[in-house]
Amino acid sequence: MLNRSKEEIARDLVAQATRTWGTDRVDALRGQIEETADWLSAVGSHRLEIDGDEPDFLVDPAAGREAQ
Amino acid sequence: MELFELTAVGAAQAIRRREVSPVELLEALLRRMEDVEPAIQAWETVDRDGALAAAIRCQQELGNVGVGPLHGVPVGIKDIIYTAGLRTTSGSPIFQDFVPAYDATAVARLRSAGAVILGKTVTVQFAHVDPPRTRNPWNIDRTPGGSSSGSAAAVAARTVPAALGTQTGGSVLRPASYCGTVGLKPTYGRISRYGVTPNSWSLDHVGVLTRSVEDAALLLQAMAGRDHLDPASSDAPTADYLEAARRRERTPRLGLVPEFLERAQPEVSDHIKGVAALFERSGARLREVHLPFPFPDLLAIRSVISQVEIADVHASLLREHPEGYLPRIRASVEVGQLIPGAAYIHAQRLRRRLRPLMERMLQGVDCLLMPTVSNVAPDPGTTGDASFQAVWSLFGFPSITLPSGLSAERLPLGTQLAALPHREDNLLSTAAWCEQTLGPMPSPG
Repeated sequence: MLNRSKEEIARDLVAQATRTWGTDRVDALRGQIEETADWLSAVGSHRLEIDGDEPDFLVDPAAGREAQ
Repeated sequence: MELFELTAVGAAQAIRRREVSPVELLEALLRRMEDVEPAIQAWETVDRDGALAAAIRCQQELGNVGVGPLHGVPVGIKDIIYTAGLRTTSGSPIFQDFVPAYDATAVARLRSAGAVILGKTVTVQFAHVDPPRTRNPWNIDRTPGGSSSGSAAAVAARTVPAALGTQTGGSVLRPASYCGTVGLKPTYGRISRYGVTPNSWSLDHVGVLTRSVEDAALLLQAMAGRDHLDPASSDAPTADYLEAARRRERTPRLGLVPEFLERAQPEVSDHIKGVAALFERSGARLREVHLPFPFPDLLAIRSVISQVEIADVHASLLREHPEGYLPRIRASVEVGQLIPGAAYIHAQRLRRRLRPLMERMLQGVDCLLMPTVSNVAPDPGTTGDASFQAVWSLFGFPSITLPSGLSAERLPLGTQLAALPHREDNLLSTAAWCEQTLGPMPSPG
């Protein structure tokens, strides 16, 4: 996902959707797939370095409930 | 003033002073509903018998020591929030006849405060984005927004003084803005989500829709606080929200966020600039505060998280009952299941790292100021644009919308404020000052 173009991601999602949901559903999903590929490309464009000090969001999956 | 015009605070005071009885108020709202509901369709289920029984009980209990702050005040509940003994459909035919055996904690706390549960307001299916049947009281050819569509429309149309909603992207503040009401989304975890059909666990908030800031504070006060039944509910101390909402004398420090203005339609952008100028003339200190990260990428982070979580909530049920799902939520659930786990984790890591940067935006200001929505209420084929509200859902910051004017087409415009987590006191006192400075807003017919 990281540093992949929206078009590459969309192609992969179409292929996965075809395998998972069938050809009949893919047309209905194209709009959502395009949108999702856009989001994934944007998120993947931000590289995160390994940081020993990184807070573990899995301890609090809400990632927003922190002590004040 | 007609009884149905009373705010929640006004109704509670009038009831305590015995100027109006809970039964009289309820009957006035039911008559109002007969007049406007056929066109607006805000209500999924109206519990006439249950509400009347509760109102009679409230009437009998008046004079007892310690009646609650919402004693005898009718409230509407969005139909994804459980109400014991009262049908809760989540907007889907799958749950057409589902009757919960227990109240959501938020509902239980409202009842403990003396509120009368009038009924269930229309929700977009599973609180997602497929357009509902509800229409905007300002113009029935426009959407009320969503997903708390019915709550916003019911409060705006004055068939109830206050209603509960939920927000995962923009589903409290957007319909509130489109319908010209106040909408409050508190800090993530401030109000328990126990007994609320989930949309996306790490993004879901319970919020309120009212016709005044004071009313929003009153309802928040009744519901806020740790709930052991919701592991994500916050144990941060609550504040005196009602006192904060009545504290209007301090002129606020406001941070205007230009990235929102740049993305808004020209009429909305010009309106907010005018609102900011009014606030400044009235004594507020204003400065520009910039987002620390590209706006589209913040929305992308939220969307990836939301889509994976909603996919997991609904995967099994969709497999069993595809006919019970409308097109857009079905597509979100199906495509959401294809998103790699690593992508979801990456989005959550970005979210966690960005949160301190977002908090830093509020250094030296009481609240951030921006439009609530990029546009005015569009046609009913959509629930509108969630982008301006979704940023605060992503980081769990409390936010509020105030009706701040009308567009050239006489559709409501909303002004949004956001504050630091667990600073609802700051948010409410700033909002109350802004509300007072803006002056009275018109109502729909």
